[in-house]
Amino acid sequence: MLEIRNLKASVEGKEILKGINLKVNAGEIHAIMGPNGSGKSTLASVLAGKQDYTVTDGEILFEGKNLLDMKIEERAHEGIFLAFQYPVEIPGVSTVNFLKTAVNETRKAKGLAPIEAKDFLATMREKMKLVEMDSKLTSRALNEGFSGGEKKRNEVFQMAMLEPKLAILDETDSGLDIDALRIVAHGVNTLRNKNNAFIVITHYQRLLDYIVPDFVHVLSDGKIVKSGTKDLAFELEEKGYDWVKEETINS
Amino acid sequence: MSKQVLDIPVLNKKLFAQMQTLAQNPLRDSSWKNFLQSGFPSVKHEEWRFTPLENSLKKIQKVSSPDFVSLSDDAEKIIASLEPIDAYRIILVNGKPISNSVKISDEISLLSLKEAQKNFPEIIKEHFGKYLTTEKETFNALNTALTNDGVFIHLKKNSQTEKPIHIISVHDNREEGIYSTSRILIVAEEGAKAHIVETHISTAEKFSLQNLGAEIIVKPNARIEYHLIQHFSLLGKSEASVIDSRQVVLEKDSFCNFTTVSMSGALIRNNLHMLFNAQNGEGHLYGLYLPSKNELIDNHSLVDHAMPNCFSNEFYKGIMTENGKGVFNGKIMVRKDAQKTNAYQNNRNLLLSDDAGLNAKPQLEIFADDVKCSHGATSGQLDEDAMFYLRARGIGEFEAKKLLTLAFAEDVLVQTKHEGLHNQIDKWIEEKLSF
Repeated sequence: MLEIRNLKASVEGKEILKGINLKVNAGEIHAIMGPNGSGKSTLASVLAGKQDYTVTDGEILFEGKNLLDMKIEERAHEGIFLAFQYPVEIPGVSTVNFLKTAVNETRKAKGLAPIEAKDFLATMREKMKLVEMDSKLTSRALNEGFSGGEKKRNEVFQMAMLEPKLAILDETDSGLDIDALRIVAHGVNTLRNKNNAFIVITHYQRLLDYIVPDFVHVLSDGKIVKSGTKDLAFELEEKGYDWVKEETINS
Repeated sequence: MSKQVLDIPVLNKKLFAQMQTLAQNPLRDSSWKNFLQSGFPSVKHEEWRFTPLENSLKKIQKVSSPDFVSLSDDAEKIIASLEPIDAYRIILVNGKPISNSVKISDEISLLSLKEAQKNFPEIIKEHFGKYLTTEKETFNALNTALTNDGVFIHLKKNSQTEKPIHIISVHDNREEGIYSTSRILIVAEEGAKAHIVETHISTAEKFSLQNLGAEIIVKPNARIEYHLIQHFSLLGKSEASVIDSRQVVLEKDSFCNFTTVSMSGALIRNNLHMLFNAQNGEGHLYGLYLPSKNELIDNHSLVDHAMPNCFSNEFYKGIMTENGKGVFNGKIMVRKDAQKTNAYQNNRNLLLSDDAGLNAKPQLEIFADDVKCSHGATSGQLDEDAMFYLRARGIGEFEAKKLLTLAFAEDVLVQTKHEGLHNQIDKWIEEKLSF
């Protein structure tokens, strides 16, 4: 589904990603772990198309298409979804209106007619249950005044509404208490199937107790320095990131 | 001759000739003298620095005669679509009402100013020209000198309108270069309540200039919701322009919420003055202006706290596109006696193009010592993080801009408190952004 080849990216002349290689197939969950500043969030932003980053080398293929040639919204239409680490507060735009626009813009890109109002509401009600989201939140301005947990649940709720092929969860666990973490994980686990894939970016192993990955990669200084199964996450938790760094140097 | 004054003798002659056709009275006479003394301001005049009038004034070919002008088909078409649909409507063409009166109730009168002079001579005598000062205010002076007709609304004590009153002013510019005069006088007696909407439209692309003067007197305990809407390019780009000077007077315990929405116009200058003339008045001034290609929208407001214990809140937002120019000049005056004044002002601007421009000048003049006042002005572009967030959800760049721009306008538009009107303005903004 996704193939990243020797991806290098910089921001304001400073190289952050220094040659990433990663292959994600449908039905898989990949966890990307790593210390702060290793480039985890940059990778997520580059995949989603944030313009602050300049890709200096390498390529990203999504279902065989060159992702780097696509605009931000085109990537979303192709089925890429980024759950933001810091969801943006947008006063004046209600969550309902925003989601309806998002759903319809995606449908338009696929040549489909706008969704019927009653179908939209029915779907919304169903998906809201999935993340136990209060219906009052959807009539409020997008993320405005939401608690940290509410924002993250809203991200997973949007993911459920848009049904992406590849979802990238950028530190979705940060700032979540255990109950919210469980709800978010339940959402993801319910949505996973053999046709979609997830990249779960996290600093801690904790989230991976709830969203069990098929593969774990360790990102350090802009490169994937170690890959393995979920056991790697436990090892990291135990030995810390320095262990991987030292191992990399020693090898 | 001072450089602060423009010298356009041809125009002065036309204006004088027009005045000669009207019934003479001392007020007209003194106003004309005041006009001659002040003259038309150039950009050297401090209050007109960013609003050049010379080109516009030189385009004036005809000073509109008070003869009846019929509604064009285009005007009828626009009027039929205007919100609020369910309202008591009075329609003006180039400043003159096309009917003498509109029946509302025994307690509420909606008349042409001319008709009102016959029916309400005392009220007119008491209020007309009392607050819209003609000294050193050229356009007020000229307006008062040339006023022949307009709108008069009188609300008796404790009366209340069931539906909004809608003044629809058609700037008929089928002929090139028409200058017109219009005047509004509204008197809300003690405890009266009303929702008044005033919409200005034009019918063709040609140049016209209207000088509009308005006095709105809100007596003790009365409450007025007022919405002024200026949208001259509803049927395609229009050169219609307006200089709108109005004085709101708030008496004891009264309330006024005045919202100005300037959608389009070659040159719009709004001189909105609100005077707190007694204690415990509450006034809100909301504004939204959207100058686009070759348009200039200038809001010059004065909030005059003359008496203690009053509250004012001014909140204006601008959305500038293409080479549109916005001016915001907001002055809060707190006079010596106006202790315990609360006065707030905020001006925020969105520049959606590199060619767009904005001049903001907040002014506070405080002569009392126990007051709470604040002001602030900002201008910027759409938030990039918000744009990225929306686009990452599949919303195209254009749609995302539209959503964020409407969201920016929302906290002013929510003041319309009328769903139909609110939706109509939302729709207009969308149309304006898709040029």
